[in-house]
Amino acid sequence: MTSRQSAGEADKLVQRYLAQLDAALQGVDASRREEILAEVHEHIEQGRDGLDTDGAADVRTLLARVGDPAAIAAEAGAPSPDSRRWDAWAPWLIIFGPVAGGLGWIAGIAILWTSPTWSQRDKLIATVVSPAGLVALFFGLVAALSAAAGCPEHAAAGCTTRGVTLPLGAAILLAVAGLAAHVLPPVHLMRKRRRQRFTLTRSAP
Amino acid sequence: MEPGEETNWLPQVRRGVAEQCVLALLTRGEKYGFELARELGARGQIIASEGTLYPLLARLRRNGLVQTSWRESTSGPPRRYYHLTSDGELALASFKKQWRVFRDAVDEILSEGSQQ
Repeated sequence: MTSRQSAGEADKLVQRYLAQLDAALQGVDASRREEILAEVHEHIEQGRDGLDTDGAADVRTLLARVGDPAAIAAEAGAPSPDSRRWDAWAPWLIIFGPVAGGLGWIAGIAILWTSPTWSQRDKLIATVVSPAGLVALFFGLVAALSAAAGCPEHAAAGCTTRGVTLPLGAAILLAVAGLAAHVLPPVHLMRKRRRQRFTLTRSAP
Repeated sequence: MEPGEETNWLPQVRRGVAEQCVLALLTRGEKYGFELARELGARGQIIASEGTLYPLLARLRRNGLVQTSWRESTSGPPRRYYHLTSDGELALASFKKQWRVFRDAVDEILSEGSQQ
């Protein structure tokens, strides 16, 4: 049936339009974004109710009147796509930047805080927890090495040589926890970013 | 600038004025978004496209100038109706006064310019 096929195509056009709008609204706070999406969706459905034939051509005209998703997003105060240009670098710089001399880390933090991709909470956690994790990893490793070197036979019972007073097990635990705390926040940033990019690519024709 | 492209002052003027036009359309009673979009769209120039009305309405609501209520419609699902608040009425009254002075001043300057 051609009419059903064309209704299916019309539905697809509307879905694609709404996905584009959703992607364009990245950076607008969630409640406002949902409100605008719901209202525009409602508007489109009401417009379709008024069409004589709900064909793809009519729906295209209708969507053209609703307008460019970027214009709606700009009216909603969405940040421009330019502000996300360097996003992909931030998590890697936060992980490897401190090892590679610190400047890289500063660049990563700068990208992180100027991008609209992540929430304040994500930014804060990546900025504070990740370096703290690295410090813990460092001390854990030093303690584990000196514990292993100082008294390898009964390490778990405690070792006080060379000024480091951590049993080997605790030292290893500290190092592992430090590594996790260092790496997990940037990994979380990557995941968040990928989720948003998925919305963007899904909306492409 | 490309032919047909909007001159850059229009979006800036629109930003402030379109909100007031929405308030003015609501003085004659509550309306739902689609109705407002069609009325504004039909007149041209007031909003860039029908969809840009919705962020504008969200802003008016956040600023307490309009309120919404869900109401059953004669056909289809319930609709979100917008109506003016008393703050909205005050804002519109003050805009009307200032707009007349502003418009007269611009007209006067423009006509002086064309006489030279």
